[in-house]
Amino acid sequence: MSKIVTRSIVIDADVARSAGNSPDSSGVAKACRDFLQAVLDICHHAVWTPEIAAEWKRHASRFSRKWRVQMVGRRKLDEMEALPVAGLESRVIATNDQGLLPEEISKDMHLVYAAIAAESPVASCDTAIRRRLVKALPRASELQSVIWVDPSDQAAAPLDWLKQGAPSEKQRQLGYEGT
Amino acid sequence: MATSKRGSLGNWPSVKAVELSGFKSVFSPTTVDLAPITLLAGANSSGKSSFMQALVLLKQTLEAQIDPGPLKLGGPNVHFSFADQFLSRIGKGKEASAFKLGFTFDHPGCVQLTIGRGKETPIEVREFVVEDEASKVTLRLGMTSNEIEAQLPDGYKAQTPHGFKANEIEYYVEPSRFLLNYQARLKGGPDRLLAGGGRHLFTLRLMNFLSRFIHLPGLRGHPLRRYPLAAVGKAFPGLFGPEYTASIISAWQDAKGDDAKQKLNEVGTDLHDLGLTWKVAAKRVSDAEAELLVGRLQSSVRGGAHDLVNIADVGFGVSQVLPVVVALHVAEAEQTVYLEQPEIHLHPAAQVVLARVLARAIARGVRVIVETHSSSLLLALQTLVAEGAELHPDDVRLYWFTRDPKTGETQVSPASLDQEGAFGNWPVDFGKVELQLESRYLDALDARHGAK
Repeated sequence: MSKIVTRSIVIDADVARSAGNSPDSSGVAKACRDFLQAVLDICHHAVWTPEIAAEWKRHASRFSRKWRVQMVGRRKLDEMEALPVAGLESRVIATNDQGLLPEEISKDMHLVYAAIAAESPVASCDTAIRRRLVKALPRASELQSVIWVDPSDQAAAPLDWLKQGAPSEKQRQLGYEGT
Repeated sequence: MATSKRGSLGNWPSVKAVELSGFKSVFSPTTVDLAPITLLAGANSSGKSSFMQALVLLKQTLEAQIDPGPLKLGGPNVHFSFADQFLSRIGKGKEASAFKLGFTFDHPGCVQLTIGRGKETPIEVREFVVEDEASKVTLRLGMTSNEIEAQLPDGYKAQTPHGFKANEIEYYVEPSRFLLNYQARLKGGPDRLLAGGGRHLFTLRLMNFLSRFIHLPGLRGHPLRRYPLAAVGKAFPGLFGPEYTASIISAWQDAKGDDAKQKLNEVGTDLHDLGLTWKVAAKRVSDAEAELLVGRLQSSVRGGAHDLVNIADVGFGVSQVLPVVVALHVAEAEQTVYLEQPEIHLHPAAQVVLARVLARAIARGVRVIVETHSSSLLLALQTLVAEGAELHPDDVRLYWFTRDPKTGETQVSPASLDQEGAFGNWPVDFGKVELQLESRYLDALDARHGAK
């Protein structure tokens, strides 16, 4: 039997929030629940910085609380600090041409810092911040190799990606989208 | 953290771990370390009860009034008719003709029993080993005097009586239920026992462990209007059920000391915290029987001291959990209480409080083995450890039982809690089952609202 490859994944609190949305006719909630369950079942870990923890607490749903309890029990929340990368936030804000407020960008930078610090992929349904980061690529080379997966995007086959060990496939890199 | 009485037996060795093989679905050697709280969990028919049946089989053998030989197969704690019913048969080449049960202590050393089909009797003790730092004595039926004597350190040998020579002493093995003992006598003389035989301290400690072992079965019966009264001592032969409960409550009421009064109050506190009642009392209806009465309300109210009703007239939760609470309070330091499904008939909120009741018991030095299917109890124990006030990580040891889908052999995965109450890579599925159900329910709601 082949060994199961597991990784630590940066999971945006919007996945936690969406997972608990009910009723939800868009399919996003179910996709997020399936994603979180797969992370637990496949034994992947989650990167857990103070900023991510705070966001999860803010957006917690009953489902995400239970999921977190299971992850903590199995020691699969990898607690760590992820310091800001010098100047990255201002460079991303400087390329903002979508009318996003600076604070709308700042609030999600903790995901990027965690991904860079842990060398981990990001799972987030927030397409706006992803577009923003891709836009910033010319001025922020640190973002090139960040893997970004949308659990609600069935075309991206997120569950298969988890089963395969959450590999750092080139086509999932922000830099790939920017080419 | 509560003041603990743990280790109050000083230098007396206590059973620290049990190793079993060849018994029912437990074919390969399987060890369970006994922590203050040892939690056994797993799917139905995964082997939890089988593991414990080996222990209670010894308990009921020891307690049998008429010597049953090596094992009392049919008894209150477990019932077998033939050895084949407990010897492992889990496939080709995996058939046991004997089972082995080993006990290690918190002092270096162990006692090991091998019991199986006999040549002349249906069941016999094939081997009995006692090992300590200084010696290892292996006894089998029919061993020669020389074989026995060669193993004995000097201090263990018989004293030669005045006027006799050492070579006039002969040793022999004598069975005593599931134990084998060596004895010494004068050759050809009257069957006169000499000093020097007898039982090792570990054997005595094992017998003490088993004879004081309190067993609460999962099925605790319908509540009755009156219960026969039993003598109350330190040991509780057979199953610990409502009869013992009524007798103990009655004895505590009759006792003059503050100790008994305190125990009654503590039982009331536990029941109150469990959300069930605030008072329990026994009312003798004859010299041989008593009624069990409980407070009609959950909490005491002014003038409510006599507002008691028969236990048969209140919900099942009280009658099912009362023996659990009383057993935990009657048990003394280092005494082991084995609870099968203590959570039955309890509301989830009470199952959470049950963790605190267990924590209070081990603070008194009681040791508890809990067989459970309660995710609430497990999470509540994890929470008490994470909170850091009532339980220490070392207080809890977890065992998850599964069965090999092809052979049916029991496999056991141990785990410990860390300071955050996490158990790590332990294959418990309680929480996952709840999460899956929650997901399924939300999926169903979404489907009703036209999710893609």
